[in-house]
Amino acid sequence: MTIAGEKAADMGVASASPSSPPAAWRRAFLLPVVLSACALTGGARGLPPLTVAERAQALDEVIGMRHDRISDRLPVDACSVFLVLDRDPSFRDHLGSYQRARLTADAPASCPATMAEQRMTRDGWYVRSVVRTGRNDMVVTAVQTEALRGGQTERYFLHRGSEGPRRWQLREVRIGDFSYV
Amino acid sequence: MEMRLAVLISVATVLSACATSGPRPVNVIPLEQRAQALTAVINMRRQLFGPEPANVCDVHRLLDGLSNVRELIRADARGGIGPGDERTCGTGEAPRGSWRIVAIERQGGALRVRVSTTGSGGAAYYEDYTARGFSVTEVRIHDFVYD
Repeated sequence: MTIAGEKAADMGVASASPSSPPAAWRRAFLLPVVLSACALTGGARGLPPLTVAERAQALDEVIGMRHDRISDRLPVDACSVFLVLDRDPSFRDHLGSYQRARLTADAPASCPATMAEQRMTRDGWYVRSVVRTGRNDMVVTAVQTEALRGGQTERYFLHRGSEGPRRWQLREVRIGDFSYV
Repeated sequence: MEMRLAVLISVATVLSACATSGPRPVNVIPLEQRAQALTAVINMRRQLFGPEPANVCDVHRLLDGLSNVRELIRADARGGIGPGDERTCGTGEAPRGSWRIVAIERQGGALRVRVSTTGSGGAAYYEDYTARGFSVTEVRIHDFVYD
């Protein structure tokens, strides 16, 4: 056994006590607990908030994709877009003309003050939230309602590359929570 | 003791091999369950994407090539199966559509039906339907291709 090994063995034997664990054991136990706490709280604090421009680009992508590939039957509720873009008076200008044409004709003055106050009163597609889930990931949640057929919840997962133009692109769509009247 | 340990290791190895050997053949899933899943998917797809019919040869293939595949599908979805003669399936003469049923697999307590389809720009992507009985509980659309 080397000198270091003998010293280590001596320390181990000397610190072993039935009444209190060695200091090294306590550190080994606490370290993962502390690291986990940092990961849970520090990660959330570290994500920058989505700008209006980013949210608008995501909606532009989602509305276009939805109408091209999923369904072109229902209008996009303008008030829900207005609310998720921070009640920006020029919210329509943030979207491309292709998507703008799909918004209902609601005027911002007639829109509810908050998302919580908004009620789904007609057939349509309502944006519920745009949330950043990672530095280069976000999720758009929407609800589609139809009076005769109930509705469904749709989640659009977008990602942007870490290089190049960094445009948000749709990765996956999940449609669920189907409800039938 | 060594014998028991050897038996245990052998069993664990076999089970691991089975778990990692990939999806089981579709005909391991009972025919009735496959027909239910296809009914659910055809109906859900018509609701989400419109009336474009399912490829009759895909249905024929996934229901063991039986001659009465249309009768195995519930009446409300039977109209969602495209025209064609099942007898010509596999001979290169079957009709084609823009969406194809690729596979049916078990996924936990449900069945996953994978559909391959083509968007308006010509790029293909996948739709995965989670079906429980005659109901679809979730649709996932993915692998979008950007020009």
